[in-house]
Amino acid sequence: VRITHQTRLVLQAFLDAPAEETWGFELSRAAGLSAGTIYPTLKRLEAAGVIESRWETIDEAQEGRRRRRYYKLTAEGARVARKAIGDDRGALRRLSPGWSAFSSHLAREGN
Amino acid sequence: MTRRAVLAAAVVLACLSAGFAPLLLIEFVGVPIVVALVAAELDREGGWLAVRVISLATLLLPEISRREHEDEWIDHVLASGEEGLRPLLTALTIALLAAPSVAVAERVPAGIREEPLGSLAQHLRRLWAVDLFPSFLDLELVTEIQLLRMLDVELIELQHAVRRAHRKGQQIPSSLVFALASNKLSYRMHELRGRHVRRRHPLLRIAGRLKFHLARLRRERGAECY
Repeated sequence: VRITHQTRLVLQAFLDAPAEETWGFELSRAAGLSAGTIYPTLKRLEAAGVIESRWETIDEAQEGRRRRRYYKLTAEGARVARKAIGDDRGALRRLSPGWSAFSSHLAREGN
Repeated sequence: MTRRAVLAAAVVLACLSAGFAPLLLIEFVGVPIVVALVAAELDREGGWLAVRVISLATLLLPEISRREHEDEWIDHVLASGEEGLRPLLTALTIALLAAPSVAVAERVPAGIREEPLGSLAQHLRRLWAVDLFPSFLDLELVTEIQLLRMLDVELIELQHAVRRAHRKGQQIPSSLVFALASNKLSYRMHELRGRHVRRRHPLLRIAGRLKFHLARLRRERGAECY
């Protein structure tokens, strides 16, 4: 799977509660992405087998709303997501050689 | 409000006497009335219009998956609100961004879709693997993560800290400088500002001061200090 910034945000949102099912609206809020961005990302992740979806079975008239499609990380998806986020953190550390010294300096300044 | 109305009436009367009647009547009376009517209509029918927009957008999709996407997107739109502009704006982002993208993904076979981009993507990935080409996005992320981490412990006046660190010859993280200079952080700040209208986010306060200070440092010392 190509890990873009948006994909990373979606994976992070899934990883916050890997066992739970969630739907597009909740995901878009959790990931901070617009509706226009979240669905193509979900589609791509589902096609790659990172997430799976199922349709809710409800009586729409009784519930007063449309049925929802729930998404969930697959076992393989959870592994991919953890690796992607982990790689990302590694890359970020490589990009920020000055931060540890700077942070400790700030800590000293603060004390 | 009254003062504005009197002023508008005075302008209209003045223009009528000067002979510019039709255009100015349209500008001062017609346009505001039409705008107010459209705004009221949108406010009342926002949800209904949003549903129509989604239904139209799903026409781009193959028939086999149209109903599923329509259900999913309409539910999303109505969850964001049933009246006003919000559902309509959500529907428009779906119609303009999600629907075409999903339509391409479903209508064009994967092999054809990925082939032309494949080599470019691989080439970029090779470049990306070299740390000399960090993306500003990553730099922004570094900065944000680090700043947020610092905010968690609520230590600091970053502005003074950067100045002192610089005076003592300590390295100021280049990622911080890049992110500030590239305006990526400003964009993020803008987003945060939208979410924290009433209560200013501490990150906004710190970044504002820091950006100002770094600009001054750069003017004083030139590019070599970063």
